[in-house]
Amino acid sequence: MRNSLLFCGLLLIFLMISCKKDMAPEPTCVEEISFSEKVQPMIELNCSTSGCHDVAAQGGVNLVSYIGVEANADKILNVIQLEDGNSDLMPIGGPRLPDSTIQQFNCWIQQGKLNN
Amino acid sequence: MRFLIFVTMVRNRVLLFGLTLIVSATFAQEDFSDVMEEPEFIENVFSGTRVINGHSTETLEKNELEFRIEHRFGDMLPNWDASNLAQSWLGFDQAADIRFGFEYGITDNIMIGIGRSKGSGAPYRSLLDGFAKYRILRQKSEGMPISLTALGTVGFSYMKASDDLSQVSSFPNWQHRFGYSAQLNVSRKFGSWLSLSLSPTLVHRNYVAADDKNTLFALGGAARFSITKKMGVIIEYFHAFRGEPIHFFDRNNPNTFRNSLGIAFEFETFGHNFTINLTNSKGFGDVQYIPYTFSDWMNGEFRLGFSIGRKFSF
Repeated sequence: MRNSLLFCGLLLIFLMISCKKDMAPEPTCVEEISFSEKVQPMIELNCSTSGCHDVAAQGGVNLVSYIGVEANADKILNVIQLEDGNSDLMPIGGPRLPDSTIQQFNCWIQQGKLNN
Repeated sequence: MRFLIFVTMVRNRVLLFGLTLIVSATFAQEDFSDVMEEPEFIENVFSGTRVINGHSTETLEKNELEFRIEHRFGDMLPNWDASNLAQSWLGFDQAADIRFGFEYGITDNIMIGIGRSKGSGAPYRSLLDGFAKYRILRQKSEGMPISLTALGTVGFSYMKASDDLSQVSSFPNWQHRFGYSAQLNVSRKFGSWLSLSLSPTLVHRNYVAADDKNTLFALGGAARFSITKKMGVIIEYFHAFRGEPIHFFDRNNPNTFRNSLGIAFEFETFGHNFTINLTNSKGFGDVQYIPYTFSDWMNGEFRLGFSIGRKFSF
């Protein structure tokens, strides 16, 4: 009986301190994302590496220039958003890019895929 | 004279013996009648402690331990693309979620459980969960028409926090990793072939996305049709009330929430319970599949899954 009361008391305390009602901020694209400063370095580091989406154009996708990235932007966003372990995830074999990088690329698309 | 006394003694003893027999038989009959009149519990309103995703009104017996393995594969035919037949073998190449759990009967009416699941990634991975279930009422052949249970669950994600602060998995505080649910589950078995249940459920998550609600009410319903004593077909549906139009069959809103719908075939062997299901939800636990189902049956986004329970008695 004493142990049961102690357990119930601890459970109550835990629920009181572990209960919150918070919301994450809405995803916003306040800053203008520069293609040359943000998007291109990300593509060069993760996508247009040697033998992948460079001149070898794996899967028919060449991302060495702005034209290729702009034309395939939606396709890129779709495959980098997939979960770890998904066979279609890019970069191939993972790990998944950081959420902030994905969100940055998403913002660049929403801002009109500027060549800035 | 002595002979007469002897005859009288024998007669009296025979009478006494006969009377004793009659009285004993009468009481014995009354005791037997009492046993016969005691209403019996209705067994296997649902055959396991789970329906498909949700809990049933069944509990483990006292000192019974159940080890559960549950699995959900990838989408079978997303966008009805027939290439998935070969490319992902109807989703077999992917694992939406996997759970291992241990559950234990403290009494015949109280059980607890803990589990670990991979997490579907939408939005959480690396999940721990726990629950306690109390059977308040149990259906009997007479006098008690329903079974009623109260269930409390907690879910906790220990995944690495996202660096995108707009994601619910960014977890600014440790409390943001928790979600809870409370549920009443009422069920009734009609005859030998039909069981129905209704599950009003309250889900609270400490941290949600900007377009979501922290506290959500959902109403679940399930039906089990027995094929034989050990086999049955189950349908289960949970409707989350978000104060928005129903998106269940809305193909034009690919990123909106959906309600969880599942159909399953279940069968029992000695000590085992198997459920093979098709469902559009990915995650396990009330705080996952009720608020975080995004897949749409009408887009071919349903998956094969199974649950296996193995019981051990101590």
